[in-house]
Amino acid sequence: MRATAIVALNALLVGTAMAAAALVPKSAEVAVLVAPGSAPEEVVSLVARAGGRLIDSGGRDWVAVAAGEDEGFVGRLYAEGAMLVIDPAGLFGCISGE
Amino acid sequence: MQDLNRIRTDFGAGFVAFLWFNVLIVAALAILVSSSPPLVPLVGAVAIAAAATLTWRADRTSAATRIVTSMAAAGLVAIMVFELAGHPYQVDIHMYFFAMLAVTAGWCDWRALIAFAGVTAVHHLALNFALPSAVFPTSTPDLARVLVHAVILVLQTIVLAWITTRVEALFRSAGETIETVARAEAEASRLMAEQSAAAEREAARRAEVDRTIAGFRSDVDGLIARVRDLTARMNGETTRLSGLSANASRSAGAAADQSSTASSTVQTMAAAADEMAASIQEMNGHVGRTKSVVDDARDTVLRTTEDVATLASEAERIGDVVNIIQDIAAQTNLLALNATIEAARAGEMGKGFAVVASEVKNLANQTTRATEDIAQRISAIAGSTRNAVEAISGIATRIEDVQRSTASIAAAMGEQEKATGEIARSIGAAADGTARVAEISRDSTRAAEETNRSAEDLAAAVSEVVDAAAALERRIQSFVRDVAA
Repeated sequence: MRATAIVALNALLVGTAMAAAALVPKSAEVAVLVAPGSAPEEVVSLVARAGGRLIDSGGRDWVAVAAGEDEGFVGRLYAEGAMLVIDPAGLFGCISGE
Repeated sequence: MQDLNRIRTDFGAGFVAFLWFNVLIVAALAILVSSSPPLVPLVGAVAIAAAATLTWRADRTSAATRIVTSMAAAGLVAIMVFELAGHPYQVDIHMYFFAMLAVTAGWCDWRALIAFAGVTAVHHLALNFALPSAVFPTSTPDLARVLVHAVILVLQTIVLAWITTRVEALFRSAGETIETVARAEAEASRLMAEQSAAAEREAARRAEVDRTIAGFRSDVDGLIARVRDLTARMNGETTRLSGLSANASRSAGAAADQSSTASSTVQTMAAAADEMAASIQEMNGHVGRTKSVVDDARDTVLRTTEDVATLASEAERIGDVVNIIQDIAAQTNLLALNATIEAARAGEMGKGFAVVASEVKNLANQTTRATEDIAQRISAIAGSTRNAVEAISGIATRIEDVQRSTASIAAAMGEQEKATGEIARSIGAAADGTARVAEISRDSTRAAEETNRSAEDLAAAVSEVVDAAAALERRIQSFVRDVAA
């Protein structure tokens, strides 16, 4: 029972680490997620305040694909109120079927 | 199994070190190659390696440790693949999955291989669709490529699992053989130790037996002497018992004789009592008859008294008649005397008359004399009658006495009859009692005879006991001699 719990916890950790490594932004283009159900101008103005530009709508009102010019762009997005900033490939993986 | 465990222990230490070496590779790739921020993959790699190390430290070779470290290895390679996203060498780093799978075989456990293959499969299948670029350097899913990698992975996993299973089985059987040999050696030495201990115990037991025999011998001697003494006393007691029972038998016989004599005496008494009752009955009859005779006599006396009274009164009346006749005769004499005087005065002519007158006078005198005689006789009769009355009344008194005596006799006879009945009943009870006494005496005689027989049996048994005790003594002495020898 204890051995099963240890294996399960480790499997969860490995899965989480892999998912985190997979979803971390790998280029200047990132997917920006705000609270689901927010108004469309929310995410747009957030990207603008962070100093980025919009590349794709993201398919949802509370998602946008944006690009920043410098290293601190992702940090600024979080500072301006983004819930999650991930690699856009993950975004397509998550919601491309929508 | 010891050897397999040793191999796993050695391999585990090396494998954990190798995991940390891979963490270093992840760090190097993060700094040198990755286009993404270096912190996230590095933190993930350190967390995976640290968790695997903790598991390993808890138990160096357990199945959980094998599985967890294998999953950690797969996770670290997967993180390297993510780091090389978009890099030309991304496809080439996939070879590292297969190399790492081969390294995992060092655990000699098919489960470790399956765990590694499982993580790799999840990585490929899940992320091929979610994040194609994280796995392969294309932006669209490439299922054919996944399938090629999967076939190779499955094939390698199967072969390695077969090899590790065989190796594990070999180690297991070798370990079992060694354990069997070790157990046999331990058993042999244990048996040796037991044998020497048994020899010591045997010597101790021998000494204990000798001591016990000595104690037993003295105990038995004492006991047999006691048995002899007791049987001698029992012999005396049985003899005494025989004498007592013979005495009892004789006494009971005498009692039976006496009681039968008493019984016959009582029967004689009963017969006498019956006879007495019969004669009392007879006497009763006589008394009854006497009483009726006395009663008759009394009646006769009463009637005689009446007759005598009648006789007296008749005699008195005769006296009255005689007085009348005497008066008549006196007057006749007087008339005759007057007629003589008248005839004398008439002279001759009255001469014949004077003769008749003297005749009449003569007859009157004769009558007077006759009546005097009658009177005398009547007074004699009266006197006799008075005597008779007195005599009769005396008789009546005597008869009444007789009557009273007869009644008393009858009452006494009734009392005597009752007393005789009581005597007869008492004699009957006495007869029953003597009969019972006779029966009891007979029973007593029988019991005494049985007691006598039992006493004889007991005497025989006692003599057997004496023999048995002697035999037992001889047997015990020879046994003790044999045992002590």
